[in-house]
Amino acid sequence: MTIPFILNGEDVVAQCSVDKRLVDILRDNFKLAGTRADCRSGLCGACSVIFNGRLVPSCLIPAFKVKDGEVITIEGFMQTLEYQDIISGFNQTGFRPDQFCATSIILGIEALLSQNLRPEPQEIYTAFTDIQCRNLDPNQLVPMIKSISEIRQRRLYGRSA
Amino acid sequence: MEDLHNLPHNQVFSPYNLAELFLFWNKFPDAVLFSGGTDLLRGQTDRLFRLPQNLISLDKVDELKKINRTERYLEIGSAVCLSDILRLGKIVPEALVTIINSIGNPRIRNIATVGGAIRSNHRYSDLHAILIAQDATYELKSAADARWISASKFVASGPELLQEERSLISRIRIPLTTWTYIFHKKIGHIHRDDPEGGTFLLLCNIDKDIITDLRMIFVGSAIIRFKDMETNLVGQSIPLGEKNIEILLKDCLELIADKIPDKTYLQNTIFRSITAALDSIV
Repeated sequence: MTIPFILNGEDVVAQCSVDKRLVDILRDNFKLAGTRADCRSGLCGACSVIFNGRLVPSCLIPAFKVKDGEVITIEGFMQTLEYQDIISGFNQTGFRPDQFCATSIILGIEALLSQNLRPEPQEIYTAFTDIQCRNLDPNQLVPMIKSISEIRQRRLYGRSA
Repeated sequence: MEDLHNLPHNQVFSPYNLAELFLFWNKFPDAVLFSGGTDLLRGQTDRLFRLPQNLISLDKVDELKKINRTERYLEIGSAVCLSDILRLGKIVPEALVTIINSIGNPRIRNIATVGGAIRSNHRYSDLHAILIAQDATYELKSAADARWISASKFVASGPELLQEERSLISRIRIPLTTWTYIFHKKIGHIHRDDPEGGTFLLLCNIDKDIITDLRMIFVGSAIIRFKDMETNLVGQSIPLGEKNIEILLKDCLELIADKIPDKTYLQNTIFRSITAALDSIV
């Protein structure tokens, strides 16, 4: 099957069977290794990508669903200013995600802040219920997201809330 | 069924409206409807998915993605993602938000649809509990006609009803009832099909220390609606009398044992949930 879609802002075409997973298309056809395939059941978050504006586990997206869609992987997201905000927030709070969880945490933060720039602590905890990163202290989560949110507000509006 | 999955070629149809969908479905009666796919692909961890030979993708059917709100109810298209319901904000009944937040994880809720959650036989389909308690109704649409069915009737008939009538759930109508007190407990192992699992839900309205409305339900391998308990407790003032509660709990225990025989763990867990829910109302 020929699957045209937008990958990290570029029009691309993948040749694969309809039953192939998006995570495998990204890794095999486009050599984007930042998206990892681990549990293959949508639980671990290592294969997270932004698909049509939503954070989804790419291991649960069959190839035919990708047709005419838009996919942003961690590699594409790393080229954006939003990524720089998140990294600045990590540096400010001293958080270092391990390599395995980095994709899910960074894209998880982006998905949360793109919907609500000033999330409530409860929203933050709900958005990160499934992330089990050894480096991520639950008490550190709220101050970290708030710090990233302030950095982003300063960049967008020239001031924080 | 296994042979069906192993056929070399899969066909995927992407209709743009319901008329086109039924046209494909009539041509390929074995075709499986595919929206989020979380239920169909659940438990498949091989490199390639084992898909049915014919699939009808609902991604482009806009009629199934509409959300309407009137003064009395919320009407949701069956292909609306669970997370989209949460994004509607404060108009969504709090009990529904609580239940949706307990389904899967935020990533899965971004692809799983409300129709899929209702259609699923899996115990994750916690939505049944709240939809029955809220007196929701589903629109079943077939090529020829459409009819509304209550959530409790649909669950009792099982998803086979859709197969028999060759119909699909197109809309879900949820009355916007608000509750002052919500008690929700998931029972059993959350990451696998647990025959001893399910959802217990208690919704209660209290006005001036008097219980004005109460719904109590367990949905799992069996559906138990504690109607005697509901009618006995409505109109009572809190704190509830201990003796009265004891009698009601005894009746509940008999009902549970009758509905779910031979599952002692589940029986005890439901009973403990009821006790905890009533304790916390007081």
